[in-house]
Amino acid sequence: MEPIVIAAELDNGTAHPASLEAVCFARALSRLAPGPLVIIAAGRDVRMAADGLAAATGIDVIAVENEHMAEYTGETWKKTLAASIAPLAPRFVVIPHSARGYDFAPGLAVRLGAGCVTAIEALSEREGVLEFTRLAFGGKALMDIVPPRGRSVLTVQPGAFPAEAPAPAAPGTVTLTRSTAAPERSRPLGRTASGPETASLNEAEVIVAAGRGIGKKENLELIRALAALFPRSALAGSRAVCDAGWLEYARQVGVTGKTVSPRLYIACGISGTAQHLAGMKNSQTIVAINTDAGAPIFNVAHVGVVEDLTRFIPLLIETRGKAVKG
Amino acid sequence: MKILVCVKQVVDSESVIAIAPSGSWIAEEGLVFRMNRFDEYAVEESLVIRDTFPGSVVTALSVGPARVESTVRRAIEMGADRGVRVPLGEGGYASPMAVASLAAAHARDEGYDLILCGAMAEDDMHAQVGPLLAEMLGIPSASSAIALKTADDASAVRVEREIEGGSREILELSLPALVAVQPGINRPRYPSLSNVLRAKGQPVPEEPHAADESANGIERLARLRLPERSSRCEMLEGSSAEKAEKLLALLAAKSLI
Repeated sequence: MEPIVIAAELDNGTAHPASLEAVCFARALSRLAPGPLVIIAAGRDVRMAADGLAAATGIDVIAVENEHMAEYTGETWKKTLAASIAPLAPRFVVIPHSARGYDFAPGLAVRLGAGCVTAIEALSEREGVLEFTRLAFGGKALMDIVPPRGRSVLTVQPGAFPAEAPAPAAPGTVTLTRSTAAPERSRPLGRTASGPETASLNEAEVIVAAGRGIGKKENLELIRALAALFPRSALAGSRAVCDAGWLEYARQVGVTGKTVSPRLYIACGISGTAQHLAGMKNSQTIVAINTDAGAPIFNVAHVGVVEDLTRFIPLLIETRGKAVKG
Repeated sequence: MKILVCVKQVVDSESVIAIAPSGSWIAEEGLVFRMNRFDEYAVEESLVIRDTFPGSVVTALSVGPARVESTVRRAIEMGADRGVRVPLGEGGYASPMAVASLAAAHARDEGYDLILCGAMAEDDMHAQVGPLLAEMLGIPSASSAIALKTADDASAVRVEREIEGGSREILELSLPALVAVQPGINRPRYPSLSNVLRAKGQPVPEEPHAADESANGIERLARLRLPERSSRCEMLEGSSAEKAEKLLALLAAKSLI
């Protein structure tokens, strides 16, 4: 049987949580398309992370030590992984859909002569045919994709397959190999730290977030006024609002911004792209206000209000004012 | 420098969408086709770089049916020097592998120094064509670029990539290279009148290529469907005033206000 290979993402000598989610997906996949699971852990100083993965999952791990993998370049990742994975002749290669994963996965597929399906959120079998489900059209629609008959590289949306808790009885075996693949046409130059103001979003109990649907920058004042109804509240925005320059990037919630889980998240005029939802869907209570009843934000919201927020928010504030006075 | 910018035509998905009766794509009647927003940033970036390196030429490429010519023309209106369309299909789902192989067939002998793409398409959201194209051409690439600087001697580009948690990864790629850009990297310009007039008279040649689908498997879209509304979402009903009262009561019941 052709194996299912999981290419783990490592960070500072430990496995990134998304790697365990990829394992969880691979287990579900192996129930529909049987094949032994193998984890590839490639990086610099990988031994500890490889042992950790073998212990946490009970799956055999091939650790690939490469001194050129201290810093990320797609080139080195593709070279190292292609050389380690090709001899295993897998049916599927599973990779977290992280900033690294979606950077190198398509190129790795080309190197392996494989197909590629990205950002998978669910899997199923229909009349004996395996299908992967992923979002399309900004989350307004779902695609059911049938992978090619041959080899496929798959990336798994973080958060879609929560890692399982129980530890296996026996750890997998770890095989240590080496790679000398080095970047020739790319050079890593380090990393910048995340911006300031992370704390204010992380500490807020209530986050009121604005999306493109607020219409214009001036309407942020409405969002501010709504936030002012709540103690320990903070203002945030979607990617589109930050791109438009209406809010600073430090206030962006989503995959490329902050991940938050306040007691209350009020999404105002946010359609709910996958990238935004990943940053806020674990909030305890989610309220969404949007004119488009079909907006995907309502798929994660607990309370939905289909209204024009330029009229609804003033009304809400006024109603609250009366209640407090009364 | 010779710069290629890849643009995709999509339906305006900010409008309300419905699934076509065939179940294989959205119902496109009455919807507006336009350039993928992510690609507008790629076009703008190509023009900024061209202006820094006198004598540079920007080519806009789109792979798709005849109607995508209007999106190539839009890139010319923004300022691209020339446009080309490689035919593929009649619309609906197109595999990134097929699109990238056709783009590669065009680019292989053109000797582009830099290829720019949007980070993903708004419709299929695969984020694959850029990285696939780079690998097919055997050149280095970086995705999620939020800042780009070309070396003065045009030998390399310095790319800042957005990664998780608001940080950035910085790397330098030797040219030729491919960069897929994120929204926010610049502010895409509106077409100038002179460029609109120029685009009007400019042909967008059709350049047929055979897709190389043999090497890599092609996935298939079984169906497109609308997600089911999550059962946990309580949609508030009634007049605006009633909704406001209900919302405040719900928040008060949870001691959130």
